[in-house]
Amino acid sequence: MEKKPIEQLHAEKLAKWTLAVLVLVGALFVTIVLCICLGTVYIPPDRVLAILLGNTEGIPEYEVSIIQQVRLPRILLAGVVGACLSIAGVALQGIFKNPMASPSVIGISQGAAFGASLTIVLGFTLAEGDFAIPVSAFIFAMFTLFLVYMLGKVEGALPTTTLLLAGIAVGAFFSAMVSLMQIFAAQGSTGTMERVVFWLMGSLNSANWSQFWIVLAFLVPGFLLLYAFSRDLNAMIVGETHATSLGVDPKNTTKIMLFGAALVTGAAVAFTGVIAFVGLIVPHIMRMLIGPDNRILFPASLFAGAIFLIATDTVARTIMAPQELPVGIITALMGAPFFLYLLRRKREATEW
Amino acid sequence: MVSMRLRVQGIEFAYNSVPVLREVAFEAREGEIIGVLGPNGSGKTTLLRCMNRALSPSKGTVLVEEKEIGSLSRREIACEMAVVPQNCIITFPFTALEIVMMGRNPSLDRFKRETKADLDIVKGAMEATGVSSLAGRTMNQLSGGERQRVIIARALAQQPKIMLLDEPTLHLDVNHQMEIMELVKELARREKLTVIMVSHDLNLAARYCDKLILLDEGNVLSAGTVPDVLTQDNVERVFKIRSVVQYDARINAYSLTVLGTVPGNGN
Repeated sequence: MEKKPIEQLHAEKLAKWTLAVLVLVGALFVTIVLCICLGTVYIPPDRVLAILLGNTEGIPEYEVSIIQQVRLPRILLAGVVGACLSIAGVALQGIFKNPMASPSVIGISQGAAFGASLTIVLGFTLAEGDFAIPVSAFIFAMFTLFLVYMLGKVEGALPTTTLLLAGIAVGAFFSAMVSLMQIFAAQGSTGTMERVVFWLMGSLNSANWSQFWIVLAFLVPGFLLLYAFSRDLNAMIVGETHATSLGVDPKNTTKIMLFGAALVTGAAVAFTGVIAFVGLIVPHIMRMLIGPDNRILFPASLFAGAIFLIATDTVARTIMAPQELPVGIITALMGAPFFLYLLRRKREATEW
Repeated sequence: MVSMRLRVQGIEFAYNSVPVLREVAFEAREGEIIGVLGPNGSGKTTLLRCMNRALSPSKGTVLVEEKEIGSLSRREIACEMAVVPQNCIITFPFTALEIVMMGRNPSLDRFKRETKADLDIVKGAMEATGVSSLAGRTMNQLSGGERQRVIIARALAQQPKIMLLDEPTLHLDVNHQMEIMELVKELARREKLTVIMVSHDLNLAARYCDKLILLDEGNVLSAGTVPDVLTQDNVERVFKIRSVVQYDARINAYSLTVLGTVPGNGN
């Protein structure tokens, strides 16, 4: 094995970080433009770019409105939702020291979905229009987190195994409640199963601009909070006694990571239902490609999560057009094989 | 009054109102290696955890260079004291360099990146513990002894005045045990580090520690030099074995020979 000097290793790491961010930002832009082109009506990239830049001269009006009213908000919503779920995944995988953790594994997603469907079924309108559902989803994401936290707590400590098990149980319970409620609420009427499927497998087909802005308003502070504590999370991954020795308060860091994860997950799930696999796979892929340091994992997963969900949602809405598939099916179908490929390749290369 | 590197004064601690430490007190100078001995459950690790305030003692204080650690933030404590915990199982593939670099965390502001100066400190720490050549390897690819040396390098990168070691030689092969202890001794001498080491290896402690503290059910049964603490009576009372401590000129240190168990030791 070749031995590189420490300065070189460190410089290579930083160069890799810069490269990763540049590549991901570029790829995100390309993905957005390409995915706007695709749909029942194909619009060529040059015209898409022109419209995005506000230059609509000589372009049919219906193309402008398709892009501005339909495709762009949907794609941007997919982007912020994918980003939310992915950074939540980074935070939870770090806290649980377990690459299997994700917002749906510890029940936050299901709790949020329950909150959202409760509002829909009971017809609450706490606030005008769009707000009642996300507010309720968010409250239930927090409530689920609190419940899981209390159930997982043992004599003041927070062992990750009990926390994870409590999360799985609470998640399964809320998931069943969502199905039950949707079925009872709309008994006999058509479309019940579709609504259940919508909440349990996720869909972006009701996207609009205000949804995008709301999710973005949660994503920005959520990301900044998580990113601010990314170095503390690194220390936590080595172990709680190690973290304490490095001046980090383990309990505090755990609470901040859980809160940040619930904040962004609640917002994401509120409009799109439980889109599984994104929060699991994206952080994992990024970790395999650029290493486990959370200071790069948070931003990298933010962009990669956006790219991943935009791409999978585009497949979901175009592959069987005009019929749409739940995006959760596509995230699993596309993500799982790629993930397995990386897993095998990485193992053979570095014995990790 | 001589200025002490570390003063532990009347520490008491209880888990669920079961007392674990009672009135534990001792002092340490710079460059001293102090061994904390005692059977399982005697409160050794609890004492260590009280010292860096991972646990808050119900009574008593710890002074580092005459500063009370209760008045310091966690990060400030981490700049004075580094801990080398018992085990290190890392799920994610951090490299040895990344782990040692974490030693700089307490001295860095939240959003600040490591500077050239930090990198030099890390480099020095890795050279001192002989792990420079492992820098690019992930922790999972290292042996137990190598991992322990990486963690000691991380502790050194904190540039502490005091290093707390919790069973540093547990789970290591005999040659690696010696290697780690020689390293600790060298660091104490060269860097004037004060080392507090919890161990239940009486022989290693007798050989490498300048002073010993013998804990028995949370009380300090005896404290002082090796022959003063590891007397036949003390060892028999605490560890239920018959033994003898002798100075061994071949290693220029004390060595403990176990003669046998105490007949009829039921508890």
